[in-house]
Amino acid sequence: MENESIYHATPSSGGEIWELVLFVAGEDGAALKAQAKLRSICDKHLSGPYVIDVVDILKDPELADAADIVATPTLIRRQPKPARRIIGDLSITEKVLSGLGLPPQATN
Amino acid sequence: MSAYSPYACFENLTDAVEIFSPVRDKTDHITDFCVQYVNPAACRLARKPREEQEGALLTVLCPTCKDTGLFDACQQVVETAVPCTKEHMVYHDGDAPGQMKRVFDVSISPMEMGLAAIWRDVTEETLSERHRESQLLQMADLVRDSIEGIVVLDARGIVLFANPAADAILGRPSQGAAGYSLGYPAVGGEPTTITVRRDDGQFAVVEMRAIETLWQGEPAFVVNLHDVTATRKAEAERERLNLAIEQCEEVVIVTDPAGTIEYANPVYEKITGYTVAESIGQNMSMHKSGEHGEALYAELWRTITSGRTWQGRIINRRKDGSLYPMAVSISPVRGRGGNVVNYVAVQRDVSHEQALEEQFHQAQKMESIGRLAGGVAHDFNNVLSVILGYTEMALTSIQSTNAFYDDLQEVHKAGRRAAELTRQLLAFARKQAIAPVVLDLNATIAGMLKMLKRLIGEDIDLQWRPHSEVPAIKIDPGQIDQILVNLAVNARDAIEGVGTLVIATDIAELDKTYCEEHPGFTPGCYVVLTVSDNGKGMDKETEDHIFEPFFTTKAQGKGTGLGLATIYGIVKQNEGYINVYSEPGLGTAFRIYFPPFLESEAVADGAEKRQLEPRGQETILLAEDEAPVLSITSRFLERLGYTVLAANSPEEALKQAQDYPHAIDLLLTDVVMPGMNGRELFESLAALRPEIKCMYMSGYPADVIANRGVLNQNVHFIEKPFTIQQLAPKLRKAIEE
Repeated sequence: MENESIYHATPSSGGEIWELVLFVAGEDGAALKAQAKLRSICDKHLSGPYVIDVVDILKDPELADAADIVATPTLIRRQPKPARRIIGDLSITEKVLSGLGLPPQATN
Repeated sequence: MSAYSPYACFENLTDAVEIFSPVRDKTDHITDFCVQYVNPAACRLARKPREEQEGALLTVLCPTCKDTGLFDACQQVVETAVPCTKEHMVYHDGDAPGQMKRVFDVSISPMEMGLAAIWRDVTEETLSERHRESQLLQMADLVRDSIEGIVVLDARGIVLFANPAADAILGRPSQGAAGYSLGYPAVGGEPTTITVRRDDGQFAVVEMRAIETLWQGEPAFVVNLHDVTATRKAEAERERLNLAIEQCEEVVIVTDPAGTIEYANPVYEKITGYTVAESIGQNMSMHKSGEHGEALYAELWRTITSGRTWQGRIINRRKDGSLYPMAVSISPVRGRGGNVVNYVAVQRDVSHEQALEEQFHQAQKMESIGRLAGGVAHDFNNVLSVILGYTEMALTSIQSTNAFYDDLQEVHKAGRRAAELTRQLLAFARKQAIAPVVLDLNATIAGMLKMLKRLIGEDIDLQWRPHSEVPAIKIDPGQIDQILVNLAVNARDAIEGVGTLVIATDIAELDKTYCEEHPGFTPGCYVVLTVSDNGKGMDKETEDHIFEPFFTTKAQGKGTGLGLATIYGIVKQNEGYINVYSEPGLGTAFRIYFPPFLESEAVADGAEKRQLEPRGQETILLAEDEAPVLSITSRFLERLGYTVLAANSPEEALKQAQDYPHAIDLLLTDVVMPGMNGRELFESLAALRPEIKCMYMSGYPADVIANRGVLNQNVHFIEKPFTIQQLAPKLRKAIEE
């Protein structure tokens, strides 16, 4: 898996760009599931544009070192500030929203 | 105490109140305290009436007061006038059984006359506090000793606390995980799998649960971490083993020590026809075919019950009653205690292997017969050369009116028939000299149809079904002729009256599956020539032998048994395959597969133009180790007008070439000779006489021609036995080229 950037801007987008980094280990089903879930959450719950960087720590251990990653999947909200960090497979939307600092029912 | 006592206010207190006045010595030093007043609660506490206490000395009433620090505290309060509290004073009221130790907090306050000590019973609170402390210590021990990782995270996901197991799971066993940012746990009570990246570079698979809590009054999470790396690895290994056993092509059966089936993999169903479900609980003997005596099974059981593995081949019976051969290996499986708990049988269907073995033996047999036939035919050809040569010479030397002329003609005819037989034998042995050309199979067959119709007669309908796009093949056209004539004659004999003979061409793509089912075939595209008839067909037994030389079903004298053997040899020589399909009473179809010729080469020219007995006056060096052949060939050459230098060995030929003063135009040499073969002789001569040309003769060109009898088109060659008519034009061609 290459580190990938996804840029998504809804037509009515406005405000700050969300910068998210998802750290995963390898290309197994869990990693792919976490990515898919994150995209789905972003599409549903972020009102503005967002960028997701996916980092495979097996391929880029130095990026994991730099970010002090203890375990994966770890999601880092880089922007907007303050930065936040979430651990888990992102399967529980409510928890992810809470970790990202979004209200539970935030929608477009 | 009077009702007007100043201490009346203490009378109803639940706390014990004692009022002491200090007792001083001459130096004003306090030596003791005198009890001035005790309230009822103090009497209950001391279990002594007021009269016994008031007026008594403290050290008498409470001998341990100095040891417990009570005396010193009282002294200090009197001297400093500052109140103090002595906590957790244990009041011993004797050591008798049933006497409870009570715990008091003692408040000592200065008074004008001395001090007041108020004893508050805190036994219950102390016990409860101690219990709580003990519980907390126990819980701390539990958390510390837990093999489950326990982590407390703050709301941002920073590790506030981690027990040793968590430190180890998170890969920070020495420095501890506290302070690390694990992240806000987006997990609930159900386990979520995460991958932990440890400090040592290893990865661990960890199940994580989290619940919200308060930690020192702040929102926090208690996270449980369970290292499942080993479990997951074991599960993956078990899964891999399961998949391997489930998907392998061998039958795997596990039985109990009595042979009762406990497990069988899916391929078992395919091979045996039984479902796994219906076989579980059955004994392995259900597969017995009856093809083996009880001795074999007895030996099998003797082997495996003694703890060894039994291997062998067994014919088993399928559910539908059909039999199948298996290569079987049965091994005992020992439990941890060392005793045999199961047997595992691995069985491989060897039907295909047996078919291949049979095919291999058949091929070996055909090869041996071919070698034998080829060898005999080669020597026989030399004999025939002499017979035919001398007969021809004799026939041309006498008048047809001569009394021996007809006899000689018969000898000559018989010789020709014999030569034809040896030619067929050589064809079967793939030793016949051929000159393959690239040809259009459809055009070649079309050119033969008239002849074939004459051959099979009017009662048989000959149908020709060419495929319009068959690619060219490379083959000697004469071999197509041999194939079709032989098959047409066989068809005619099989039809015995009115019937149909169909000759068809086609293109076939043989895939891997087909080739696996037809041992010997190689996958690829082939040109297919099919010759089928609706004659009487043949049974399997006949089918198995039809390509063997001298095998014939025809009446004595009607067939040589060499026709199909010749075809077999031709097909093999051309790297093709032949199949026969026959049903008794319905007919037979031969399908011959030729590899297509892929290079773009011109289609072969028509028939060779032959000139009858062209003569010459050149000098020919003849080398032949067989004296009769040397003699007759010399006479042929002389009759054709050539000057002949005859040599009965290569050495003799070289000597003659050295000694002969004039030009030598051609070397006519046998291919196989002792000491030096024809090619080597020619090469030696060419060094002496670069202008010399060469022509080879042999009954067996395969000996020296690398491609199993296929002649290089540039080499001049004549196959023995030959007639003067065959020799003459070839000689001219070789000399004039």
